[in-house]
Amino acid sequence: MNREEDFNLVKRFVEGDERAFNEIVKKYQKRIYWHARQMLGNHLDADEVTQEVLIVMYKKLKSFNFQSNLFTWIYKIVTTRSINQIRKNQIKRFFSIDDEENPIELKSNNDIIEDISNKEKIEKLKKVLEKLPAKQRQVFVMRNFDDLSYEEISQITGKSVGGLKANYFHALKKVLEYTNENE
Amino acid sequence: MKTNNEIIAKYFSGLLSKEEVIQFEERLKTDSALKNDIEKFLSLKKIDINNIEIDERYFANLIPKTREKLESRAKSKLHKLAVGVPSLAITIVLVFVLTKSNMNNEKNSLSHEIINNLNDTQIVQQYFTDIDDATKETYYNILVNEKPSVEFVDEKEKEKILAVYDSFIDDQLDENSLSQNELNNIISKIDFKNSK
Repeated sequence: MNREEDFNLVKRFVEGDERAFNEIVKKYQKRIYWHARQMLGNHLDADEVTQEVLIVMYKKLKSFNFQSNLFTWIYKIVTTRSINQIRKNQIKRFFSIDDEENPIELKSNNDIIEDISNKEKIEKLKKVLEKLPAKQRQVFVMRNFDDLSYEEISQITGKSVGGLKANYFHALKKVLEYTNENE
Repeated sequence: MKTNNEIIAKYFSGLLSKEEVIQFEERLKTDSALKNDIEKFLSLKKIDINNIEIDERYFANLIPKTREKLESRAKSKLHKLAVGVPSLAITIVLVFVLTKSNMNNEKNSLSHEIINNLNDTQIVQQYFTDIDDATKETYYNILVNEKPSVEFVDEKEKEKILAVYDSFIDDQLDENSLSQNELNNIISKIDFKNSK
């Protein structure tokens, strides 16, 4: 049903119906944003990646051939862009280049989360995830928060299930060490 | 504590065998420390994205913001094309002109290098290899004395040799694009005595 609905939306968009693109965005925008948000840890970076993903979708949707689910395809774009953003941030930090447009205070103050208890939880999670290298963070987020199976993650990332298990194991060990030390 | 981290991580990663999973779950029933560690980890997962109160205006504005970005990128692409294509064309023309001029310079400098640096022996070897010794001897006499040697007894033979000589000089002029002066200059430097 979902696949059929996606197929019709893409078909309409390819045929020139711009409203179909809006419908696709409305359907998936929150999942795109939250995956980027968990990967990147702050709203401003997540917003940047979300908009980039939507632009890529707009440009490439015409070549989408339904060999996978539409969301698997979108997920691939989000996760790749998020990893690129993490690396970009790491390079900026390494060379101590200040992000003049988005200084750290602005990054943490500018948020769309309104309830404080969830904000605290997400802050705590952010601190844990910051300890993980990008690839481990990717698997950890997909397994824990998006509830994806190894097979689905493998489809998205192109990595073997065995390799993903090993990555998840190392990520989990680091998370457990951190939670034990900080509780 | 460290042991717990390892086994918990293996359990959740799916890296334990079936027997190990059974053992782990049995241990979990009685080991409160292990249970506590797992609960701490699971509490991290208790963030339900669908129930977080968020500023919905962000998502309402997402499509207009994205479309605005798409339009501005399309405009900037057009601008880049308008500036880039003529610049590229000018660059290609300049590169072509400069390369051609450089090639001519290189050709000229190579010709001069050959003229100035070939020694007499090399020239003699290069130009006279196909000529037999008797003819070589005759050329030597012609070039040194600027006239056929007195040893020429047969006038026809002399004319034949002079014709070969003229033809040889013409060939060299054609093939190497040397001027008459440059060729004369080379010939005047030839030490025939050494080449004999």
